[in-house]
Amino acid sequence: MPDPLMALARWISPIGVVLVLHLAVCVVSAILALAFATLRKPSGLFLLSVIAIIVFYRTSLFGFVLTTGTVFLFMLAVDRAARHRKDPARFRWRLSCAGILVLVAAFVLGRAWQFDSQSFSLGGVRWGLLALDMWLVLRLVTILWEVGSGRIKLPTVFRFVFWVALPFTLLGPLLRYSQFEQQLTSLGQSSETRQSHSAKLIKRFALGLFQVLLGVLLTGLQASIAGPGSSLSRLQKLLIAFSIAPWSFYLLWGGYYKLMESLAPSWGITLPQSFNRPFGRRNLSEFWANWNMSATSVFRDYLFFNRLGFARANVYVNTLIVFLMVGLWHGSNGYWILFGLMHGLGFCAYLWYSRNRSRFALLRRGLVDWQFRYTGPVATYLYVCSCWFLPPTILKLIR
Amino acid sequence: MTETTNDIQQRVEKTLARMFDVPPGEVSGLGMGLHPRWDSMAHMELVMQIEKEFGLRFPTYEIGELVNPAAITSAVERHVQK
Repeated sequence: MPDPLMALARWISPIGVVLVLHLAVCVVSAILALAFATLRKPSGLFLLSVIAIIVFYRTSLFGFVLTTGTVFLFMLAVDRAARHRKDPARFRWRLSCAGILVLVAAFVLGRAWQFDSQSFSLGGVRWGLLALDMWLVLRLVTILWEVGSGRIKLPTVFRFVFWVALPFTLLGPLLRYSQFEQQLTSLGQSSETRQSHSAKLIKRFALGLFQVLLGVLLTGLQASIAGPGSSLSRLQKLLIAFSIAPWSFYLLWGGYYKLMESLAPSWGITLPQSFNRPFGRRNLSEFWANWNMSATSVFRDYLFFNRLGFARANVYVNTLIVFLMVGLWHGSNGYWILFGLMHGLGFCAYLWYSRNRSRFALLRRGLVDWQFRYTGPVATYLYVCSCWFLPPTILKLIR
Repeated sequence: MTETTNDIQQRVEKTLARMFDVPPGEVSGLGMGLHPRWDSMAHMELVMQIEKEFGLRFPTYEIGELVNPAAITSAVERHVQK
């Protein structure tokens, strides 16, 4: 391979072939939806979704169908059984909660024991038995929650498949079914309405693309100077961890979600915003309120606001549960558990501080205005970076 | 005596005004994440205050949806009518 191509491959490799392929699928499907009126109709979009899911999951397609099909059949069975109960709402809610627990346990344990790598051979291809990717599980948890709580009615198979296979949400962001359902009426909107949004969307697309490219560039830079076998000192590695690494991740994924947010409207679908300048926030609460918002809002709504059967929620316990689950959602291993615990403990410390703010009045008086203004954002940034950087060191110490 | 939507709205707005220390006239513009003090923790406190005010208990799945005065009023109304 010529040198420039080798160099390009080196830059792209960190983000993976899946992401590039998925981006291509999204762009092509958006162009198709814009170009052909028939494809903008629900049946046309359904067809595009099915094609996208085949391209995206490929050999894991069987696992995807099995996982989503099981969840849908479970919801259908609960819905049917609830009709014959005295208190159908309570029955539906309890069984849906049980379904969520089973799904989450299968997801966490399945990844820990690598169930998702189990496969069988058919037609010369090895087919994956389970599809346990983080965004699919989050989508399925939200629909179980929404149907179970009575927030939405059980969708038809057609609508369910359409929603679960939406190309713009396969790798995130999360569009809850209730949000998707509200938009179904806008699918056949006129081209005039589409055009009125186009300038804004093109600008957003360009910004997203720029962010992704910058993210890829920084990821490549980081890999080439601090990758395996690098001779950097600990201090140099620390500097990279606190400067390049967080920005490369944020730019890459923030840009990617921005691209999805700008492509989805070509289908008549609006996605929720995912990132809102998370770095530079004054505290961990503000950081998480602006980081991967479509996903973190689920953890907040379902776990942080959960009283777990008690009269009053214990915010500290709930915080630790939330962040432990955030960690496990990323990966069932020591690194992500520690990542979640560190964020949980940091968030608890912030909650305690905000409840006892008056005790720190003396300390705050000792700081002049500009010092006070920068202390929060700098401390938050350093803590967030530490949560990415420190877990491997802590794990090494523990072992 | 059944409370009207207007009565419920007024009591919700009073609770919000007391909680976030804003004049009652400005309550309608409040929203979770829109007011600097209405964060996740304040939200839990607010839910408790509303529950105490109306003597009811919101189920878990409703708490995340009580994001502005209108949503709170309509949820309270639903529970009061039950």
